[in-house]
Amino acid sequence: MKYDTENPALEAPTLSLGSNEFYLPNGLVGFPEINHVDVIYDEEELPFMWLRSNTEMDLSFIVIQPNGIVDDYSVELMQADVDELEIKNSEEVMVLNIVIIKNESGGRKIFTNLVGPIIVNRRTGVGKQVIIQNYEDYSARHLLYDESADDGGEEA
Amino acid sequence: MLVLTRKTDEAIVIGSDIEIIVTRVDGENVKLGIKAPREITIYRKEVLDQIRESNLEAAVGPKKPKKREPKPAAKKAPKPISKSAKNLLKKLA
Repeated sequence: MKYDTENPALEAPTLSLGSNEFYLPNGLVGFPEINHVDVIYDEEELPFMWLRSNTEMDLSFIVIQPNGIVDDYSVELMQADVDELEIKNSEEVMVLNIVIIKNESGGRKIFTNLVGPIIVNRRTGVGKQVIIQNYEDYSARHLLYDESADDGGEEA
Repeated sequence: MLVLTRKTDEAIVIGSDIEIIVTRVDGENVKLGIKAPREITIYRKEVLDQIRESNLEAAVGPKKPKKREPKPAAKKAPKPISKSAKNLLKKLA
């Protein structure tokens, strides 16, 4: 039950094998105070990583990079966001989707927000939680994994 | 809150460079045209609300704020997760 979001004892790993620090001038939607963040991960826990606030020390989010995890997900950015983040090409962009883990009676369900990813310009170290241009194609609560529907590893 | 009455093709101006025009009214649907500098992001409020709710639900830590209201249901049925991702998730179970 490492990822039990209802468990107050849950803590982000203190040992990080990799580290990515960046700045969110506007914070996250609903969390404007989360400006200086760090993405840390433990190789054992991939594809799940932790977005940890360096200012609000107790607050973190579980995130994924969607490549290879979410099928048919293409991120189209609004021009205003491209300009604001000074994005020159797609190679300098890192996409992070926030994950929600719910422990329900039938088992664990894992969702991710595909509508509002965090877009980071690796070159400048500045990021923003945006609404993608093609948001109508996706859900803010996309089901990634449903333990109760898991039939033992076969593709559903 | 300032409330103004406008007719079709009438506009309001906000600040020096944002203009909102009522282009069509059809029953309870109002079509708006918005002229704004390209650095201004324009969102449908319910989409922003969905993201806020999703962030609140996702926050991990003792300072997690209370949820305020139920979320609207997802628009689309979820697609099954790919096999490779499923195997990764399995390792964590």
